[in-house]
Amino acid sequence: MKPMPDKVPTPSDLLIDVQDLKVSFQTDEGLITPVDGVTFQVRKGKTLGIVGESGSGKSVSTRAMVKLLPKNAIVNPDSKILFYGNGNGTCVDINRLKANSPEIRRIRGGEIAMIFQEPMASFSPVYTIGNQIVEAIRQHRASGMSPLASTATVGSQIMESVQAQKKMKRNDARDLAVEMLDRVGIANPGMRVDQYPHELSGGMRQRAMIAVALSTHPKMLIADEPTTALDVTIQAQIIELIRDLQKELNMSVIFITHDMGLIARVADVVAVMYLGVIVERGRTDDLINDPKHPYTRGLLDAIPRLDRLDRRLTPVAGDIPSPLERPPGCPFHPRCPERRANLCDREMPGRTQMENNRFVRCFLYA
Amino acid sequence: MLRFLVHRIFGLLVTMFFVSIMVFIIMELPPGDYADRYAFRKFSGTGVNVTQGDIDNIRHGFGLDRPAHIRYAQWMTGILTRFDFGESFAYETSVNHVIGQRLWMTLAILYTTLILTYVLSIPIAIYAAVNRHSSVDYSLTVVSYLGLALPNFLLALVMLYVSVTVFDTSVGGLFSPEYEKAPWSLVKLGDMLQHLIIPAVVLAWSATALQLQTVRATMLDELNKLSVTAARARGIPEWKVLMKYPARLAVNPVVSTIGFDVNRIFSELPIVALVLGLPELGELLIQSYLDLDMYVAGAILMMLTFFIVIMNFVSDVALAALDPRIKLSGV
Amino acid sequence: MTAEQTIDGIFEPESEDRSKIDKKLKYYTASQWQLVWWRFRKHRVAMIGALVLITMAIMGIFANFIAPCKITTRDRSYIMGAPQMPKFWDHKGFSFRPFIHGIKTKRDPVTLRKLAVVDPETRRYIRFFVTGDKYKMWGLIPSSIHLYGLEKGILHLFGTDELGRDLFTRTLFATGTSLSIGVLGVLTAFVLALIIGGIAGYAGGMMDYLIQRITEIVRVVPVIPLYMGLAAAFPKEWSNTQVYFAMTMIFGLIGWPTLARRIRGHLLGQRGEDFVLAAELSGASAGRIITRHLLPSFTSYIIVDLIISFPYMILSETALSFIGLGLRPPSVSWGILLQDAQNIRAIEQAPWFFIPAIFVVVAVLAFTILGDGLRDAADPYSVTQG
Repeated sequence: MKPMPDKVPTPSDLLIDVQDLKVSFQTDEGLITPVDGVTFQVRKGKTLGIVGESGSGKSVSTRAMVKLLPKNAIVNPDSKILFYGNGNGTCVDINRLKANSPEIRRIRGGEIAMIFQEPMASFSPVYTIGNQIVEAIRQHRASGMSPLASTATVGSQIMESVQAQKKMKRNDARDLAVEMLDRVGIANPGMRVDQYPHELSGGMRQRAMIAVALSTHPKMLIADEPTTALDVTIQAQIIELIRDLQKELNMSVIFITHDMGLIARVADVVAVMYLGVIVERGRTDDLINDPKHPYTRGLLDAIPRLDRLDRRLTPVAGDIPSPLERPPGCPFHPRCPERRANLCDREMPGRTQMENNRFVRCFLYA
Repeated sequence: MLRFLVHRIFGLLVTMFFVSIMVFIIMELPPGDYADRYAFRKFSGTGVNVTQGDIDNIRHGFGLDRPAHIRYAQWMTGILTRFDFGESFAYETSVNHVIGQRLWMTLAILYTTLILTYVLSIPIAIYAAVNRHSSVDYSLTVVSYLGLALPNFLLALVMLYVSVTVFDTSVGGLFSPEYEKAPWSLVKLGDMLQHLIIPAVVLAWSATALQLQTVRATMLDELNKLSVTAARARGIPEWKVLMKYPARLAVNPVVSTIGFDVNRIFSELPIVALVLGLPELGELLIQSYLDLDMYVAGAILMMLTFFIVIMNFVSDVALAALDPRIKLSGV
Repeated sequence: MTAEQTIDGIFEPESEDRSKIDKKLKYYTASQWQLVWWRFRKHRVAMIGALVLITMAIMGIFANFIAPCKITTRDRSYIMGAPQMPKFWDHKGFSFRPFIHGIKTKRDPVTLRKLAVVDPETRRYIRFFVTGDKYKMWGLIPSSIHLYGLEKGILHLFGTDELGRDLFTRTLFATGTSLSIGVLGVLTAFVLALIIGGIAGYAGGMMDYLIQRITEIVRVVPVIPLYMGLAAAFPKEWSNTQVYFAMTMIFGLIGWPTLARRIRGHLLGQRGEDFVLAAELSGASAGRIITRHLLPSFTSYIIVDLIISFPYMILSETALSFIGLGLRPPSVSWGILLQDAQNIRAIEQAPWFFIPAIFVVVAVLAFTILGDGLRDAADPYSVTQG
């Protein structure tokens, strides 16, 4: 099966272009392929939402984008991860960079930052919050990236140190860390900077994690289920914070979640993943108002809506199969209410292009 | 911090109190008492006929006819006020005199062994965990199994055998004959360090095997933590990530088991010392048990246990300093 | 999961192989012990460990029959003799019946000491199920049949000691003694640990605190010096049987705290579970809850703990007897046999004195890998391996 070429937006406003990404793992039970030919783009300053159940390959694909996969992972060498946000404006294929090379490390954390689901586990318990922010700042100030000057004070400090072409002084980095903590809405940042992760509340830890990620002024933030472990009220605050900072820094965001309701609030474009494949992609409004793929419809039917209180909530039947028992044909067919015998269980449907740069992978629309 | 220290020191004293009772019971266990043995030792073979009256006199002279709790109190008072552990009947002098320099030899062996254990096990185990399924990793598994299965005294015997048959020298003792009685000097110290290597290797053998496994397991655990991925996601160089995050935490279980390692070394020391002919406390302990010289044995058992308790305390404090999650508020 | 889906009718049965579903159903309905056994069987190394231990146990139990003579039988013609290897072949040709060459006694021309020299001209054939020294199997059944023997003299597979006693025979009996001390020691420790740990874990509170303190103190004193102290108190006039049982008592007394701590840990962990509350609400007594509900849920872990504590018992026995504070000659144990190897000159001249040491190492190794294998197998539903 050859991937169909997408209508590519003009490269001038593209930040990252992932083409036919395939990731496999060598395990004791055999070769598994959690990401099987994924293609998507993220534009500058925009948010891509990736939705899917656990095991759909959403985290693996984003980790592959910064080469953060374990040693037993194999990324297909033909896959392309084109990053247009490189410091000097050139385009770089991240997939061709060597793991742990200085180039990838400069991009990782410097240009593309990540936050994770578990703020407690993302911090090492034995170092202070400040220590881990300062570490990130000093790492990337040393490599002489060109920062997006936004906050005046932060920007000027960065410019100074770039001119000096050496590591930022520890004290200056600390001041910057305090400023970042203040910026993400942590009260009393001067005290918090010297505290350990276990001394902070869950919401504060996630704010601190955002502070670490954004302290280097990245062009892109990958948020891997950043609010799943938090209370609903705190969840809303964190999302508000990410959106504010995104606007302020003109940053792109990839927002990964399994929560269809959440994605409607944050994303410009949504990609729905199932068993390592994007089954449907389109602008958020289009996709929410007129879901095409039976899986997308299933996900939307599973969330409660205020305007349709009379409706019964229907969960998607069945469980996501393990990657070892990948069904033949369309991966969703065993759970699909509209499957067609002798077709869906034999052949993988191709991409059907629709208006507004939308596509769906289903024989219903082929 | 102060409350924590006070609490731990109090715990240490309570433990030592109970240990002293246990040691005293062990000293009292062998049939007969000091007076019997003293009389037997003093007069056997001299043709003097010892009567029960004579023994009773000796017993009274030593205060052995008083009840056990009073004798315990006297014994403890001697230790606490004058650092006096009583009399050795086998050597007919004070226990302190018998123990003398052997205490320092024991500590020299202990610390050499500990340092050797940690210097070997920590880096190798970290390397093996990072390079899982490598040849180093597999040999580590084999070595740590052997380390648990081959008792130290057997290893000492094997080393003796090899040194005698292959190198035609003996590895026993702590000094070369020419330095045995010489006053302390740098040369003598160097000579002792040379002799310390074999006992240290033998004693470090099983402790290293155990620590290799512990450190490797912790390191494997830590490597999978999200905080390590998060650090990598910040673009930190790989070796720095490894050293600062998982390796730093993999040392914690080592610190927390220092007391356990000291216990293990002291447990194995007597027999190894016997085989290698080391002039230290463990060998003296065996000798005094065989001679039923219970005041010497009790003193040594107290000292060894005291060091273990102290090292437990050191490890507690060090761990609290290393891991901010441990509250310093006592309890 | 797949089995459930089949029942719900969401997943058509024909899309999956029938036998595969059956296999899965078998897996999900198997008892815990079956699962443990299936997983353990896959663990090759641990199986080898188990086989080695069974072999050693058989050697110990049937020592009388396997050994060619008694532990005290002295072969004056072959003192400190090297191990003899049965042969099928020599310069005279091939023989189906294994044999060894005879021994001649010569005098050293210089020192005039007696020397045993192999005589390649004579063959002594090995026979099986021969009649030899009389013995009573397990002290009950009188017999004089031995597994093997020479037509004349004794075959010394492991050589002989300074008195000309057969080392193979002595090792067989030592294996029995050392292993049985381990078994009795572990059992004593287990019974104590079960009672004390059970009380501490279930009752909690003051009792728990007290037991924790005692455990701590026993754990802080170095173990072997402590054993030695207790062993030193054995009266000299005690018989070997008395010493033997006293030693198992000591190992039990000092071995229980570690086990009790684990049992207590298991109990505390399970105590808060809903099924315990349910049992309490339906009026079950504490004893019934412990024995019927709590203990079975971690029997497999207890067995693993017991297996793992074996090596310490064996090593302690060997160490104590080695320095002369444990069992005493004429009884034999691995430690006693190794006493002969304490002397550098002896091991230089007779390296075969080390053979009992190989038994110690192999036994401990076998227990360790068996314990590891069982520990892996005891957690039947865990998916992670290696």
